[in-house]
Amino acid sequence: MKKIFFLITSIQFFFTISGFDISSKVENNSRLFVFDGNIFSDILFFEAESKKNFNEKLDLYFDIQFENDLSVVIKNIKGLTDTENFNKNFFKIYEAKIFFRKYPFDFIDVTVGKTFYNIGKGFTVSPADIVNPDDLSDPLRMDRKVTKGMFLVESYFKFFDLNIIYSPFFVPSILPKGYIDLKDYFGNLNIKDSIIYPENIFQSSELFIEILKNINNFQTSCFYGYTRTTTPLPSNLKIQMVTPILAFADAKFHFPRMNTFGLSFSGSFADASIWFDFVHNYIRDNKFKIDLTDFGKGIVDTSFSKDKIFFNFLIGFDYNISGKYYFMTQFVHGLRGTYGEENLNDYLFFYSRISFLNEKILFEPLNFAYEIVDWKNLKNEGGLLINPKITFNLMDDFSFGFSFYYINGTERSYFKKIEKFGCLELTTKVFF
Amino acid sequence: MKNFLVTLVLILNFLTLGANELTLEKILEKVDNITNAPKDQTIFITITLIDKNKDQSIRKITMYQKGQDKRVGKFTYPKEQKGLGFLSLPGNIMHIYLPAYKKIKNITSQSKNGSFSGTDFTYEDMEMSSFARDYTGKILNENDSLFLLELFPKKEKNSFYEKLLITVDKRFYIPIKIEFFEKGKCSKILERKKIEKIKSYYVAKEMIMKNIENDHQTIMNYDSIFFDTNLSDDIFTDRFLKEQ
Repeated sequence: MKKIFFLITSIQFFFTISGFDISSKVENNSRLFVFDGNIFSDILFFEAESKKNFNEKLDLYFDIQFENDLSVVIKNIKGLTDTENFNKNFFKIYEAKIFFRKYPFDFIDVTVGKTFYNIGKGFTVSPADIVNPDDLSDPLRMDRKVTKGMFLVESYFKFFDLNIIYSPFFVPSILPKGYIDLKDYFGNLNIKDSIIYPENIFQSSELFIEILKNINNFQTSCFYGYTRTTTPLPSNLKIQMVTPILAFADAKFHFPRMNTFGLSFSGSFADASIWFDFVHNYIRDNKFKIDLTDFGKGIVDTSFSKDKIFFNFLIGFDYNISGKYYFMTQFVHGLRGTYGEENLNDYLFFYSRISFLNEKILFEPLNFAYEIVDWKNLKNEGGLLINPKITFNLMDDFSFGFSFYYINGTERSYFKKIEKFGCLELTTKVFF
Repeated sequence: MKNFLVTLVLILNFLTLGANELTLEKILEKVDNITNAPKDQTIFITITLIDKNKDQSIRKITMYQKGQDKRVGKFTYPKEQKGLGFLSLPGNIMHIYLPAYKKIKNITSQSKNGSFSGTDFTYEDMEMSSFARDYTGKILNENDSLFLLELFPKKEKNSFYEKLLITVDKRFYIPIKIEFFEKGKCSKILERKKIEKIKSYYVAKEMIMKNIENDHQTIMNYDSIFFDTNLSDDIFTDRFLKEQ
């Protein structure tokens, strides 16, 4: 902790004397995993956003984050000597970018550095947000993105805006613990897996183009992405007999290229805000080989999806009643990171909020997500996440809140994979 | 001849009276012209929220406006809301920028009834509007110093309010009090105070919005104001709204 505070203080000091405008946040999340042995976790999160405006044309921006896991769990005697067990610190430069305003021409803004860019009009789970992969290290925070190095050119023309993003570095999603468990596929086989990672610049580069147009109170955009899958897909699988009674699986994974086209729209209809994202995906390589030579069956061609083409979409709307009651709903066909039509599940997200005392108390009684695995078998297949929450903003720059996560799902649902994260949570936030 | 002269004097008197008596439209036009007289304005505002226990909460916002129908505002304080902004454009268009998502969201006429960052102002109150263009009504009362006007929003305004009662100070043609009516009763009262002449413009440097229902009030103070600085049209765009 001393090192962390020293680092925080040093960075704050450096940015302050350098004339940066700093906004910081300390957030503490205490969780009691009531469905997983009453394990307690306590994560301290610090974020400092610093911006310096050098002149009319040039801004420099940093977002630095520290995370400290306050919980200590020692499993053996050796663990008592390992300081890593006592100081689980994570430091990351979340964003570091230079913004060139109206440069080289008045109608162009250029951003260079590590950042994120959202295309979709939907929130949190938009399938159109394809530029940055997801950070699902904390699956209860589905809106977190992995930032990456990019060169972003935003051009503002008379009749439309054109944004071009080039990213030389491919970065996959950070997955929740247990998201891919090879034992689910191979049972008790000894398994070795490896990933064929796109290393050279031509393999790892990604390109995104978005054209935007506002028509009255409607925002529309169409986009194209030359990208890769953000979760690994099987490339080759070899099953070998080590002894007559012992088999061994060698699984190779890769991130195949994708060509993605899409449309986004947001506007209003009959007093409700509405938005819509549609994504057409073409995955270059949906096949993989299983080498069963040792079993006398040769090499078998198979695929993880029937077709190379599949679609995602999201439709959402929100509504405000008397300024106090707000609700929002989104229907999503396929979460990001899932590929192939037959692998996509549908989700209905519902969010509601009642504000009291001029937003000093925000009560979210009915937040839920319902997962549909099979429309023909709604009774027996699916998932459910329920998340009521209350937040108190009783003074400026300080808030605290309680929330409860109940997560449950059947075998083929995403919620099954994260159901052990069901918990009671206390969150405090201080901004300074 | 005598009768003719008497008739002429009466006619002239009548015509003069007609010329001096202002119609509602004329009053509203004058109010609009005074309120929106500057070509553009840059205003640094401190917003103080006071609840019924007298607990206070502060917001700071920088607001730019141009002509009668363009306004953009960005929060600078508290840190939690820094970067949050709104853009109001002609045709009832309103966008808000959500910095955490880096997304711009449309505000519908229904959502404009929502509280503007916990204050007693709604997004509709923050929207640029023209009384002459957006309201009809009648003059309820008049004395030497004040007009009392009853205004009803036109359908195109898509207003959440049923009607407004406006008290206009005849010296400046500034509405010094606005009573907002919802569901048949007055829900809020806005008072404009500290009227000053800056350059050649009259400005109310303090606005107090009182919420009748919950005894909450919001005081909006102009810390500083700059007129006619030739604000570029580029400011009233999504491009500026989303700039960090």
